[in-house]
Amino acid sequence: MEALGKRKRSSNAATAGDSPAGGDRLSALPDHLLHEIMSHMKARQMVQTCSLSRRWRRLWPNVPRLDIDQREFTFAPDRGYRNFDDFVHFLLAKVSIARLDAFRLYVHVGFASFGSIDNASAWIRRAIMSSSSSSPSYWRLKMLHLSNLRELDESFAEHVRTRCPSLEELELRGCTCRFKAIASGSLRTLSLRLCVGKGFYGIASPTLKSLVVDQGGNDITSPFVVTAPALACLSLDVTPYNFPFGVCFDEVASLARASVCLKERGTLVKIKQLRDQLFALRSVSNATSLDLSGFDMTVQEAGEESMSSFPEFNNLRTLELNQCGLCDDLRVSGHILRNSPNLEKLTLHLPPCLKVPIGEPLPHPEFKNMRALVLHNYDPSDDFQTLGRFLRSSPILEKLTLHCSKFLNNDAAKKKRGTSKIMTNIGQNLMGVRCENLKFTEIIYKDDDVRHLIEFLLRFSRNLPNNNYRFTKVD
Amino acid sequence: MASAGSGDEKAAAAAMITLISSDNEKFEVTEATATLSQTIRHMIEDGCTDGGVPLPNVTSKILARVIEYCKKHATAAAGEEGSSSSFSDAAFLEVDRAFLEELEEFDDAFLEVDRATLFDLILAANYLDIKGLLNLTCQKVADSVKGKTPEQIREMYNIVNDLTPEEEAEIRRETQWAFE
Repeated sequence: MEALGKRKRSSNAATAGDSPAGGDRLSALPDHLLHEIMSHMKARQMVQTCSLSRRWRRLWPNVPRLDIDQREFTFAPDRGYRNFDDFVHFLLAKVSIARLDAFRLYVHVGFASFGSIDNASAWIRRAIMSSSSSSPSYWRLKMLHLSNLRELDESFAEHVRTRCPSLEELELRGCTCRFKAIASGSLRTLSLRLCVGKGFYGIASPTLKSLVVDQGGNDITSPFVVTAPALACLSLDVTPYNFPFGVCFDEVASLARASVCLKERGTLVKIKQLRDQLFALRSVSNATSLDLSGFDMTVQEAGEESMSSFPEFNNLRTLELNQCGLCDDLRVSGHILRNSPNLEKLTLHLPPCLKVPIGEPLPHPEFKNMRALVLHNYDPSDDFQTLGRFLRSSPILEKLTLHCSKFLNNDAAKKKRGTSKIMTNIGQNLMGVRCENLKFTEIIYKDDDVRHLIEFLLRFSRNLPNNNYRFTKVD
Repeated sequence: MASAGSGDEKAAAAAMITLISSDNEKFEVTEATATLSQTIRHMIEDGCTDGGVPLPNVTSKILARVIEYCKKHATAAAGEEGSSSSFSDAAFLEVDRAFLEELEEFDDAFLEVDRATLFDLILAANYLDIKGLLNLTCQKVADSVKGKTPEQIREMYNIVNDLTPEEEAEIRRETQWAFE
């Protein structure tokens, strides 16, 4: 990469730039900067620096951040993972987790099952035990990431709650949570990814700003309770397994961005899940930005009583709907749109091969503030049924983005209906469109079928004199 | 004006700060750009930036690069603040996403420098207390030795091995678990 020979500048370099070793500017850095550099290495590489020279020999035990990663070690047929096991054992004997700023531990998914006990969880447990019997008993950790630990028990949760006063970021990935709750007076970010809860009932933190629960499982028979009044950013991947009885939020007035993805739609637990879906919706109704996926059901399925209290989304500015079916009045997604009067940007993933029923009798909600509309899976051959409907409702729209689907069997359909009928439909469907502010339309397409695009354009542009177009072809 | 709120973009943009390099070159920057440096932020808060901020530890060549970094990242910080407070630009959130990508590309290109410059940048980032830049440059050094043997690292950075054979043997004994 860089030329090794270029060392002229070292003479007028900033402080401590010159080195007695003549050109070894790395070793000339002060300890805290070498520690900073070492903090960006994984543990094994970091420890190996001790053999570079005398300067480096005793640096590593005082490194402020430790990143232990089993992926630095290869599985030895004769020794299995014993090298790694020994490495961590000796490392943690030299470096106390208690005085680290950041600690990351990654073990392979199969690490626990390789030996009969989960050594990785034991390391954490022992570190907790040894620090509670010595002083200071507090850990100064700001960041803790643990991956694939199978035995995180009550002592871990207790330690986080009472003896980690600086902990701001906690991520558990693929861990088994054998504790009742995560509680903390300092956490700002909490991520639980692919974690399995055993009697894990909830999260309580007055400081928590950002929460991610991504899949995983839990065996509780009551709603999972999140008490996080300062929560601003939420991402939930809801399956029948991680929240078997739904998720329950205490007041989250400050919630700004939320993303809720419901998996396993329309399966066994449907009825119960429907109620939970609405539960989740009410929890996030304060948000200014929402990203919802999988809310595909009709309001009838959701039950009359739940519809009478359908939440209002008065703060909502940005909304993305994916796998939420057609946004008609029969659907929950349609009701969300209807109850979001201040929407500024809407991104809609249209369901494939389905069109809005012709002659839909109910009026479409008005989006008086909508400035940007993005439609995915858009079918340009639908005679502007979908598009016309949105354009009519969005008088101050400025930007339109259409991600086109393939023009499926388009020609055959057209022939059947006959040309004159189509022209009438187009006239009707684009009637009342008055998007005078629409300045920019981007059309993203996969097909090479330029003819259809031009046809689309010719008809579309008739009503919109100020519009500019950009075409982008993707593979 | 010394206490212009970070939320008030116009005021911040109007307030200019003069930075003076070790070789006496003057750089005019906005307060928003300058305050990415905690060191300068404290100086502004203490009201001692009139007549320029002398930076005797930073050459003009390096200062120019540091300012280039700060300018780019100050815009990013302002954008982030704006979007979380009002969402009035919600319609153009996707532009933000593109901007983040652009920022990453900028960082990559920014790091395409010779080693001497890289060390100067580390020292400047440390002195000026610019967390992002320090992280970025230290990461670059860490990445450069990734997967390399101690001998390769020595060669790469002109590190003289002053360990006696006895000391080397001792290190091997103490930390053999890291080398196996």
